[in-house]
Amino acid sequence: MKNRWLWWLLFGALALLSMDFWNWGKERPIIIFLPFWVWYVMTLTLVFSLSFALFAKYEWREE
Amino acid sequence: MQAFTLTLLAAYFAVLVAIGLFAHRRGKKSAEDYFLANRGFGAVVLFFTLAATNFSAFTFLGFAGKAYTDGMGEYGVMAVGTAFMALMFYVIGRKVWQLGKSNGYVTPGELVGGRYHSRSLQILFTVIMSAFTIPYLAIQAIGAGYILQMVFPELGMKIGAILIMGIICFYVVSGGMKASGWTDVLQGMIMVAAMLVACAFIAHSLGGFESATHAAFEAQPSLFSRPGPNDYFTTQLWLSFFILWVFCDPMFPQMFTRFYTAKSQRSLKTAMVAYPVLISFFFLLPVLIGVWAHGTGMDIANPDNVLLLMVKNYTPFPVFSFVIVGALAALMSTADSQLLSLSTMITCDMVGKRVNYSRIVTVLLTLFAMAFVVFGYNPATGIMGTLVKTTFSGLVVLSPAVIATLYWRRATKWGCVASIMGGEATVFLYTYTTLPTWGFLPAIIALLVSALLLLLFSVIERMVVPAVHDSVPAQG
Repeated sequence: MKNRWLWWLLFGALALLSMDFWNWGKERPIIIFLPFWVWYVMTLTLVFSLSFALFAKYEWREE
Repeated sequence: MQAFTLTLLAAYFAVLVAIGLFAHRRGKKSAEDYFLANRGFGAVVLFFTLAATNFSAFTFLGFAGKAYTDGMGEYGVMAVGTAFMALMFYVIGRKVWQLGKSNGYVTPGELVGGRYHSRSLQILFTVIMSAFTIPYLAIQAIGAGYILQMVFPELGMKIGAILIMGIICFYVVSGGMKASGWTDVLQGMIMVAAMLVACAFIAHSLGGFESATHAAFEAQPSLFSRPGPNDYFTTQLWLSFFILWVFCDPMFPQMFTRFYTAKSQRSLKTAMVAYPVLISFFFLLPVLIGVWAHGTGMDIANPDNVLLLMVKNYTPFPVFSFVIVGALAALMSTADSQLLSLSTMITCDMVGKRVNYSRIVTVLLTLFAMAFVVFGYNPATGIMGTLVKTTFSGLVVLSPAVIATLYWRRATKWGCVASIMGGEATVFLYTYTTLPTWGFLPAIIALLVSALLLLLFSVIERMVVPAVHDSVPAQG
């Protein structure tokens, strides 16, 4: 049960990280044809996948 | 070029029809087989069917169009929320799968109504879901017409839409959920491949990825930041869309119904993990093409056409033909799932699990979508505007009732009814009046109202008649 709360805390933190207000108004730097913030968003979606994979492996019990 | 595209399209349509007939022959003639593919979709089919069902013509054409007008922010606003939404495969999908399997549920309405032993709640849920999904189905038909018109202008938008809807209707009626799921695998692969090829060829024609971006940046730097050139992507809007996709996507009946079709929870797990990976790059491709159009100096009157115009002007014609098939695959995979889920709900929730009745309803819905195209389309609102206005808001307010049904033992029937009706009333109030939104989407305010009403009415009902509801077993 304790672990479950830690997972939801992690997902909550990831949801908050998707509100990257500190990147607003910035079109530079452009890194490999994309603005930095686009790389940030792309990385974040991949981190979602990684965290879901860990959640599925360690927390999601098939009943 | 027309002959090549026609051949490719004919081959694509022939494969879809063949899959429909094959699914019909492999079918077990039972209702559960027709409506839910015998609850037997493995990880690969489930992943592709969830993705292809959710990624529509709007993903192909609308994303590029919106990126053309408002910049790269379109990628983030769509990708982050949709990727995070995959968590709902656990939160909602797992429970729906369990309850569907143990109670024989086929529709979303059965699950919600079943918890409270309420036929009226079941019907209400189905009516609301159907009412907001039918216009979305018609939009897919409109998209099909436009796509075919790009290649065959003499055909006309309406004839193209009727042709595509006719083909979809045929394979859905033939093979039910199996045909829908299996064609989704093919269509999902085609749409991803088409978008990758289109993006690569356009970049090559524009001197490479760096040059294409550089030219667009020189033309309009604000495309590369938020809030974008028209100040569209505010932080409130960003948060609104995040919440909207997380809670709305599982409420699409075509998505919800697919949770029942999983062979095991392992299938759901795989889909949950793979979904954000696909989104991370797939959503970027149409957005890049839309933004790059600014560097070409092309004059584009209708932004929804930007992707196809870019492909037409900057790729060899076989690629253009392939992208046409890819765009059609995107919208047909959504439309067939909508058609099946709508006919399933209308039949099973109204008259019972009768396959032949469902087939008749499928044909009637197809005719309705065709009539919508022929008589009712208003092009002034655009794909994005119409979708958000009529479908997403109306469906997202169903999510508090579903989540409470799955997790909250003290939720009541009247709590759900108040939540749904109050949420929908708020949606209509915001559509027809000018109430303040404080920068958020009206759908989010409607969602809040819906959640609060659920809480309030459930608590009050339990205070007034506690004994009645204590006898109702909670699910999950």
